[in-house]
Amino acid sequence: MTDPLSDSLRWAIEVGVDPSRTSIDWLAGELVPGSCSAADAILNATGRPDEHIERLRLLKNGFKTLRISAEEPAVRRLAAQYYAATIAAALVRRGAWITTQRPTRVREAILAMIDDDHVADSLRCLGREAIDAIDQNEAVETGLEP
Amino acid sequence: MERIDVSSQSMTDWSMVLDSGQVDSPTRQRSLESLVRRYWPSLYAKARSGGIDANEANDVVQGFITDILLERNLAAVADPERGRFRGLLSTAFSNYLRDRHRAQSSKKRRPSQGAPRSIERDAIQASDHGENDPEHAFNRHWVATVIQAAVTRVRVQFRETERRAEWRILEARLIDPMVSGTKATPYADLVEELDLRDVAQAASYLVNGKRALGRAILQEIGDTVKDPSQIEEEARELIELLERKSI
Repeated sequence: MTDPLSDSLRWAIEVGVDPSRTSIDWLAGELVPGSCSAADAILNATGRPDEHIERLRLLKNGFKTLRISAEEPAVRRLAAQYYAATIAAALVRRGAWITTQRPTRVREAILAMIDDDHVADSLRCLGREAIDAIDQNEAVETGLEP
Repeated sequence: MERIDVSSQSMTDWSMVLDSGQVDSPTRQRSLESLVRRYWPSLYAKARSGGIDANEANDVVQGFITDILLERNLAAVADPERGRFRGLLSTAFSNYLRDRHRAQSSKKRRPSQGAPRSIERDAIQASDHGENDPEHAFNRHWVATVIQAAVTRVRVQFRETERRAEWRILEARLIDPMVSGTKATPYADLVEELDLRDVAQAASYLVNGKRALGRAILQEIGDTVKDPSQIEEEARELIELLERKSI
């Protein structure tokens, strides 16, 4: 059993060390219990496909709120990147489009996520795959590629 | 698990400790009162853990404050360069308890033959062997005091900025379970109660509140160290003290 007093001190230290990453990981832990980080929660594709997509929607909505409601700009910025990462994960891993935003807008958001070295490397790789998927789809729709 | 009484409490810092030690300071009385209020729970816990009953423990702490803190002006020898005030206070209180025990044992020996058994002495001896450790009790209550002050700080801050929903979620999901050991209120209930959009929104609000509380805990610890660069070190030392098992 964990001790609430030492636990409190531990997460207070986390806030001091890496405020934005801590918030992102905490939120993922609240929404996907048992996940050890936000990247872990996004990339963990266990369970049925619809369950995974539902998890990604939940995470997307959480990061969306944090993107608006967090006090610090650094947290808001990183929440926006992880918001994009959830959309990328749904597209690459499940072929699902979980946002009402247009592909061009999502593409920009994912590119910003790829460029941010505060984001976990595994998610930035996933972002590159998502960009390829969006570009291929766009090429098919515009008739530029067979 | 001990309860953390979440009530308004004035906190102190090194400047207050030092002010308490200056007999000619116009604010000395107020500083002393704040010091006593802040450290009373830890001193009391240490006395109780040493085997002293509840009523007597109050008297013992009161006696320590009168004799050591006021008359001998313990705060006057406090020096930020030489360590934490909580360490100085705890050591001084240990010495006070030991002297008191010796004086009582001496009185008891006089009328009868042999060394009488004493619950308090047994407790002190037991604590020397790490059982029911008074030092551990002191440290746990000290951390509880710091966290309680941080909770108060966040509550005031959230009220002033009208972050009612965030405070409610923080209280229901984190503070109440931490303070009283109750189960966290399910997110779904809070979404309904606060008319939120969904669980994701409630969880985001919790994260905002938890961050604010984490920062407040660091600020409270910051009040007890000489330099902000020592905050993390002090927090880690407190964790180590809490987790130090009886030897």
